[in-house]
This record gives sequence, structure tokens and C-alpha cells, in this order.
Amino acid sequence: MARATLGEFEHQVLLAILRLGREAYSVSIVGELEDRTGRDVATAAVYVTLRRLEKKGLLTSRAVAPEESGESHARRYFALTDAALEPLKDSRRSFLELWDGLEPVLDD
Amino acid sequence: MEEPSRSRRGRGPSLARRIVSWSVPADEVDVVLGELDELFADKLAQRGGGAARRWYWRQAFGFLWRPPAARRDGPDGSGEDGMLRDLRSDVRWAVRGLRRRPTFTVVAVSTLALGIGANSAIFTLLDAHFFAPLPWDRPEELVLIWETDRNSSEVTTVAPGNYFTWREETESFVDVAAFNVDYANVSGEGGPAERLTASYVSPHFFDVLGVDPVLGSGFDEASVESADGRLVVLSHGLWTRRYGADPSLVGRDIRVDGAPYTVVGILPPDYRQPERDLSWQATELWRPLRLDGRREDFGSRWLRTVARLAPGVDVGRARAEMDAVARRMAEAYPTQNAGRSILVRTVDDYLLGDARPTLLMLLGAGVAVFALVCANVANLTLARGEDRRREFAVRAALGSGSRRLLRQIVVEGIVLALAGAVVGTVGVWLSRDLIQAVQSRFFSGLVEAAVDLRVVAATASMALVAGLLFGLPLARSAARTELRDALAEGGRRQGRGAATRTVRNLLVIGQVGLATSLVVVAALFVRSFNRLVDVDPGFEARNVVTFEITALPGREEGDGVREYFRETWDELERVRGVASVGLVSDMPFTGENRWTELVLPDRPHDPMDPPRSEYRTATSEYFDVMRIAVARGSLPDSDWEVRRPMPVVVNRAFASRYWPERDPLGARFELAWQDTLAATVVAVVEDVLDDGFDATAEPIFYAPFGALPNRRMAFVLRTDETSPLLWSSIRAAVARVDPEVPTELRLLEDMLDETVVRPRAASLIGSLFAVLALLVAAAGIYGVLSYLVQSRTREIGVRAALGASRSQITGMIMGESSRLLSLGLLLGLAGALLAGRSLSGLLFGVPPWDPPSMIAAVLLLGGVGTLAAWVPSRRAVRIDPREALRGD
Repeated sequence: MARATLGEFEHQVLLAILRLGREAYSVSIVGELEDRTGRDVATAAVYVTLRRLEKKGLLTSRAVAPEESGESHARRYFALTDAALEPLKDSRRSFLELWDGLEPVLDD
Repeated sequence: MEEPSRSRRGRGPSLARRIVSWSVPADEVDVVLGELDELFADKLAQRGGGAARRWYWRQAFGFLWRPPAARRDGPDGSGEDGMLRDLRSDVRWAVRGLRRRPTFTVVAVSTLALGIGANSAIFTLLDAHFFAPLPWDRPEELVLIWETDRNSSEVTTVAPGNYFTWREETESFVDVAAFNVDYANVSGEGGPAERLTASYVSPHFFDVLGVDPVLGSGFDEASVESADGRLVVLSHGLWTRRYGADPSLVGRDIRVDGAPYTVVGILPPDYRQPERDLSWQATELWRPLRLDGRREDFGSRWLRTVARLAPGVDVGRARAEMDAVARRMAEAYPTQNAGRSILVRTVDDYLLGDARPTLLMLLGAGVAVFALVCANVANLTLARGEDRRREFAVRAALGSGSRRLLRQIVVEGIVLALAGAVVGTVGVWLSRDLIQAVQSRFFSGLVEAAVDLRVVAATASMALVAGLLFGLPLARSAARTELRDALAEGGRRQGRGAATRTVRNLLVIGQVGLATSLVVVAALFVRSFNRLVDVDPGFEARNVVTFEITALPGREEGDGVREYFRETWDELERVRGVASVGLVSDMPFTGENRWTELVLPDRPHDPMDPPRSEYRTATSEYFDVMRIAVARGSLPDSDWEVRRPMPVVVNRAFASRYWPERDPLGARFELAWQDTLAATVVAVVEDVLDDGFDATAEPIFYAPFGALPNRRMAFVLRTDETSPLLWSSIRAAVARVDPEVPTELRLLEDMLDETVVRPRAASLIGSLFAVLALLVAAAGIYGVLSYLVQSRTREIGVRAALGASRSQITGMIMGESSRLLSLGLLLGLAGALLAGRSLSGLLFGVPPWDPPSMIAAVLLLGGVGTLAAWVPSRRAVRIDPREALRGD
């Protein structure tokens, strides 16, 4: 079987985590997605996707207890694994290739 | 206004938080809730409380919908119980499938909602009439006792002498109490004078019923004696309405019928008199009944009696004992008690029994509609199932066990049914006022129809049954699917699945059958109702205003009462807009009849069957106002004086019963009273049906008011028109004579309408169900034939290619439909005959096998069915053979 391919939403979530760096936990991911896409994002969908990506080995996570972080509640931070970069690059490449030469269509 | 507690410290609504915590694995709850709260705080700052809370709810449903847990289990299946997880995914799958087919879903859910909604509405009514407790202590022990006439089987009230005997000489009862139906004028403190439904009750009446006043007490012999009977108990409603629920009222005097009465107690709010009265007006005032010196009175029957069965005694035993008592009394007092027997009925049967046949009819109609709906949804589901054979075959091939597939199908059915139940219940909830109105108008004001949890539970279980009912045919058909066949057919079924088709055809036949039966039954009720209201009652109710008043003390008897009514009559005559004024002792349609035994000089007196007659006191104008035709003779010219022998008017039934051979004019008879009263017949009038349209005319004589004055009389006024202005002039005219006498005006037409409320309900609700059934059945026929056309596209294409004409193709489709239709119609007519036989007691003037009703149903169903088949047949004709054959 070929390398894992990414769904659109998985792609978006991975990018959001990349952009957030060390501060990537679900709240900030939801915020980032909403800011960038301009749409309401269902928290549950983000959770489900994070779990799935973690299961696929594309993410790692660590829970931080409130005592450790000084926050009011526990948080789970996410980071990309090396394995995530390949499918991301693949997705990006296929999108760009598909878009190649179609820019005039967008000008309408 | 915002609710601060909900958004305090930026936390989401607590119920939504709980939903989230159910939906995520235990070790994640804190993280998820904390993070959601954080987001919630953001939304709160950005968009305000309302929007933030809505957002939180959406997130919560998101978690319920896609619980992260389902995605998180390890290879060992840990994390969540396997069954529950499967179920959740089945539900999710079902909902997704339903959302993908919006037309199917909307049709199925709305049909189900109609069926389930209609059934819950009926269940609400049934619940009130069969299961809701009557408002007395251990009501199952309470019975009402009447006298009956063995020959005419007419039920009458009870003579005081008999009441005493029953109370003292029987063993079946703990106690027997007497009461009557009466009216009282309340004036003075608390507002303008009012006329109330009241009752005289024997002092231990409330003890027999087991009612404890909320304030004060009931009556007891000693205090009744010392107060000379001037004691009164009030209803909670009257106490609240008129006296502002003043607790100090107990012990004070109020004015009743112009005299002071001491209030001794207030009854609880849910108290009801064990009496059904046609106007369903609650009794609001009770006075002690005193029967001193009436112990030997076996002739005047005016008491109602209620008794509590002794422990361990059932109604059957009480009846047996009362039969023996009746025989004993007939021997001891042959003049008054010969030919009399005693009727014992439980309060439950007496108060609600009459409404039950109609309600059971409704239940039958409701169940039939529900069955129709289920058949329809089963049919739709089955049609969809055909489309999904491939999906199921593939899933089976990929390792879904057959049990899992079956469960999936059943879950789909249940999801659909529950959606229908929710929509239906919401509908019932929204129409709860309407249901209550139907209940009190058509059935009984004694019990309240409330949509409660039991109804919701009943609806939900109906939904589950429905889910299984229509899940099963599909499951059956799926279980037969072979992957190879399903795939080889390319997902299209041709010439196979004959068993499924048989099931579907049977469903359609059943639907048409049920719908036919319902339409026949509805037609029977509509025709019966029309027959009933077409009956000529013998008088003209249009523009007649009527009201009853009671003369106050001081003018209750003799000349006083004559003068009082004469003065009031004079005042009313002068009111502009009133054409004529009549006076009668009992208003029509109140069910209050007076009977007397007669002595006819030219007939031997038979103590076993003495001549009897109903009688009223009336003035001559009464006949004119009511437009009751005078058949012979002329009405007495003066009504107000005492004349002996009194000139009486008899009806045709009286004349033909007692003087079938001779001219009744000038005939004489006597009233068998303590002071024998002689009467001469001066006129014969036509019979009137003033006890209801389905009554028969009984012998009656009308005595002139002057000869037999009564302190309680009804005025009937023929008016030019009825306007509020006229009504207030009438009230003012009455008040000019005595301002303390209240008047409550009613239109005779309205009273007439009230006598037919139940037949009206049966015909209205029956028709409603019939229309529903018709629609559902039409949808069923349409669905089956559409699918038939679709699945036989190829065959039809081949036929067309081979030269079949359009009319041949149309004929083929229509032939199929007429086979189904005619089988269904036959089935339906048979069902209607069966149903009609059990409904014959509710019908008036229409036999259960009434041909016009049957023909109407056949034409209607046939027409609608043909129309439903015609649309798919047009589609079949338009099939292009090339398109059809290219399909493979």
C-alpha cells in the first residue's frame, strides 16, 4: 500500500499544529483553524482528528497537569512526528501541481 | 436576562458539560472540559452569553455524535464496552443514512408522527377515562342507587321512604347517603348575586364519599338540628372566586336564597359531585338535607343516593341484596313500589361509562391508523431495502455478521420511529389545550385529560413497536440476500425477490383494507349524526333565549310565587326585542323530568302498571314561544289563577296512550297525590323531543302555572334577534322585580347542540381519521406501484421495444393496482361489517351495513387508489426502450 494520504481536515489540523509550535493544544488549534479558515470548527471534530492522527503515528501528545503548567485545568499538547512531514509534503505537492496553470480561473 | 450562574467563570451550561463528560473516556474528561471552558470563555467575550451557550451546546452534541472514545480504543478493544460502541455506531450510521435520503425520511417521519401523535392524543383521553383515579377516597367502592320501573325500564330518582329502608335494612353497604341537584342564589358579600349549581345532601354525605374539607368540617346531625338546617359547605372554587379564599369565612354567615346560612366548611379543590349533569357545571354549594317526617313517603321520587360498599362486598352481591329488598318493598307497599326494581351502578360506570364506547371507537380508529402508518413505513423501508441489497451484501461479505446486519436494520427502524414519536409528542404537547377542550366538551368535565409522562412513555413504546414492525420485513429481505446475486444484478433487481414483493403487496392490501374500514365507519358516523340533527324535535329553537330563576323566600309559595313570576313576566313582555314570553317548570334538555301516577276514572287501576305521565307547569304562551303546534282544542285562556279541576294540555303520546279510542278533549283524570288533584283535558299538542333527538316522546301533560306553581321556573323568550344589548335588558327586567335574583341566559339552540356533542365528536374525529387513512393508503399504493415501475423498467422497455402499445403498458400497471385495490376493498368491507356490528349502539337511524356508506367508501378508495396508480403508470408509458435496455 502507498504512503498514508491525508484528508482535507487532517491536513488543516497538521498545518495548524505546525504554525503553533510548542503552544499547540486543542484550544489553540481550534482558534488557529477558525482564524485562518474563517469558519466555526466543531471541537469534537478536532479531537477526533487529533486522536486519529496520533493513532496513525503522525502526532505525539503529552498531558500537562494544572500544577505543572499553572493553568486552571489540564492540557494535552501535540507535536508533529517526523512521519507527518512526508504526507504533508505530498499533499501540498499534489495540490500545487493540480493548481498549476489554473490561476487565471481564479481571477474571474 | 442572562443567568449568571451558567456562565460564571466561563463555564458552559452544566447539562451540556455532562453530555460532554459522558461522551469522552474517563481519563480525558478533565482535559476536554477544561479546554472547552477555555474556548467558551473566548466565545463569551467575543459574542456574548447566548451565542456562547449555543456554541457550547453544538460542541456537546458534536461529542455525543462523534465521541472521540470510539476512535481511541486500542487493539484490545479497551476504552469502551463493545456492545455500546456498536450500538452507538449503528445509531450514527442509521442517522447518516436517513440524512442522505431526505425525502424518504421526511415522508416516513411525518407519517409516523401523525400516527403516533393521533394515538397519543387518544391515549390521553382514554387515560383520563379508564385509568385516572376518580376524585374520591377508594372510588371503586362507591355505587349510585336508583329505582327503576320494571315495565318501562326507566330509571328514576328515589323516594325518601325507600332511601331510609336501604340505609337501615341492608348489609351490603357501609352507609347510604342521599343528595339532590338544586340551585341556589348567593348574594350579599363578595359581588353581585349569582345562581349556582347546589345540592342538598344528607349530613353524612361527605363521610360516605370520604371527603375531608380543607377548612372547617362537613355536616353533622346535631349541628344541623341546632342551626335549623341553615348551614352551608362551599366548593374551593366558590370560596376562592367570590370570597378571596378568606379563611375567616368559616363560621360566618353568607346570604343564600335571601337568608343567612353559616359556612361550616370548604371542600378540597379537586372535589367533584358524583353527578353528571348535562351542562357540566360543577356543584358549588351544599346544604343539609332534612327528611324529618318523610320516612313514610314512598310516592315522591326526588333523591339521588350514593353508597359505599361494605368491605368484601362486590357490586354483584349488592345487586342481589337490593333485588330482594325491591321484592320485599313491593309486597309491603304495593301502591307505590309494585313493579319497581333497584339499579346499582358503580360511580365509575355511571359517570364515565357513557363516553367509553365512543372513546373505544376512537381507540379502534387510532390503532387502525397506526397500523396503516406502520404498514406504509414498512413498505417504504422495504422499497429502500431493495436499493440497499447491494450495500448489505457487501457489508456481509466484508465480515459483518448477519446478526449485526439485522441489528443495524432494526436500529434504523427504531431511530425512525423515535424521530416520529418525538415529532408526534411535540405535536400533542402543543395541542394539549385542544385535547382538554375536546375532553371537557365532548366527554366529561369530571376528569381532566393531561398529557403526562405516561402518555410520553406510551408513545415511546408505540414507537419501539413500530420500529420493530417495519424493521423486520427489511431484515427478512436482507437476510436472504446473496452477495453473488446482489452484485451480479448490478444492484438492480429484476424478476427476483418475489417474496419481498408478496410482502409488499400484502402490506398494500392491508392498508387499503384498513382505510376502507375506517372510511366506512366514518361515513356511518357522519350519516348517523346528520340523521340525528335532522330529526324534527317538534319545536323551533332559533332565537329562543331561556333562563331559569328561583323565587326568593317570602315569595316561594302560593300567591307570593304567582305574583312574583307574573310581575317578572310583565317586565319581560315590555322588553324591546322580545316577541313573546313563556314560562315552564323544566327547561328542555336538562334531563329534569317530573313524573306522577294518574288515576283515570274509566280505566281499572293496575298496581303493577299504574298509569303514569311526565308533567310540567307551563303558561299557554310557552307553546307559542316554542312553536309547538296545537293539534286539537284550545289552550287555557288564563294561566295565573287557581282553577279546579285544572285545565291541562296533553301531548299526542298522552292522548293516544290513555284514550286511543275516544276524543281526549274534555276527558278527566286525577293526579295520585296526597290531596288528589283533578284535571280536565282542554287541548292536545304535538309531541316534542326535548330530552334529546334520540329520545322517544313520552306521555306528558302541562298544568297551568296558576294551578301548580313552582318556585323554580324557566322563562323562554322568543326574540327578534339575539344581541348583547337585548340580553342585558332581559337581565335588567328580572332585576327590577328582585335585584337579588341572578339570571344566566342561554340560547335554546346551544342547548340543543349540547345534546349531540358526542355524536358530533364521533363524526368529526372519525372523519379526521378517515382522511388520514385515505392519505396514508394512497401514499402506500403510489409507493408500491412507483417502485414496481422502477424495478421493471427493463421489462417494460423490452415490451415497448417488442411493440406493446401505450395502452397495453398502462393496462399492465393499472391491472396490478386494481388487483391490489379490489382485494383491499373486499377486506375493508368485511372489516367494516365486523366493526359496524360492535358500533351499532353508537349509531342512530343508520344500520351498520348501511349501503350508501359502503358505496361511498368503495368509490372514494377506488378513486384515490386509481389516481395513485395512474401517476406511475404514466411514467411507465414514457419509458424509452433504448434507455431501459442500455442500463446494463
